Amino acid sequence: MSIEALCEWATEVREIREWPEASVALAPWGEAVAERSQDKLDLDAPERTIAELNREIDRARTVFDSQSDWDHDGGTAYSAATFDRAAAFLRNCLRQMWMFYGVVASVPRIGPGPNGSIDIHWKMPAWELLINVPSETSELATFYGDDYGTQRVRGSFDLKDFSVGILLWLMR
Amino acid sequence: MADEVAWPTEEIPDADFVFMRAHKVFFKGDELAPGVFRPQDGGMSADWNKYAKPEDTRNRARKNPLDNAIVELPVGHIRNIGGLTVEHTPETDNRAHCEVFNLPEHSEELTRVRVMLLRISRVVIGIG
Repeated sequence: MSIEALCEWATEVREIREWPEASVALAPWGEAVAERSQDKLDLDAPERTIAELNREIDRARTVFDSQSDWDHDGGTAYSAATFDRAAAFLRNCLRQMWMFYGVVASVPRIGPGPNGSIDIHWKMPAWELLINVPSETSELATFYGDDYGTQRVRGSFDLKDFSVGILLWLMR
Repeated sequence: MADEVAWPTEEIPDADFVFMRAHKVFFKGDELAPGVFRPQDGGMSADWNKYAKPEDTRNRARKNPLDNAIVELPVGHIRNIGGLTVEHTPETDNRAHCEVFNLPEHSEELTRVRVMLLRISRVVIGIG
């Protein structure tokens, strides 16, 4: 048998039927997601998270001292400007998670990093993420996160351009 | 006046531990923060457990030793993190002194390394 004969398609005739009407009225995608989210979410959670975040920012602010050698062991001084940038980034990040994805993120810990930078650290039972906010505005922030297993994420980003998708991916 | 003693430099086995001070600012409750791991003058200073106890490391703080916790790190695990080395660098008044070298200069890699160091560390003396 020739190749041409093998490749010849058989002709089939099928009855064409109308697509059935949907028996359930479908809400627009955005509304459907919102309804589903409201079933699962504690609607007071964002308020509690904001309050918890404010407490963490206040706690961390007291740790940072503008004097050098703040830990009596050669520690670098931290500037209020770096701290404020880190706090503003964090507020924006958690706000976006809630507004765009209906997700209430855990409040991370804010702490001193190397060379006057600020650390934002989530240490959760199933994943961990460390974001480092540099003291120099010209430098990019860096991050590393994983699920304590094989899934890892790392990189650098502009504070104004952070994709909360990284957090969502780790929280999945 | 006695002559100063120059301690010999030794090889630190993977099975040994080093102790580091962790100032109270690096704690929230009992939880240690990754910021405690940072290079100073090219390395990260520590004490080898062959010649020091955790209390010795705490008492070497320049001010307020009780404001410091002591963290223990296994040497072999440190060496398994992205090219870090642990070298014995004895000082006249501290034979246990050693340094963790090769902490990355690139801040993206340093961020990863600090998370890894946090994971292998254990607090052996708390604050106060």
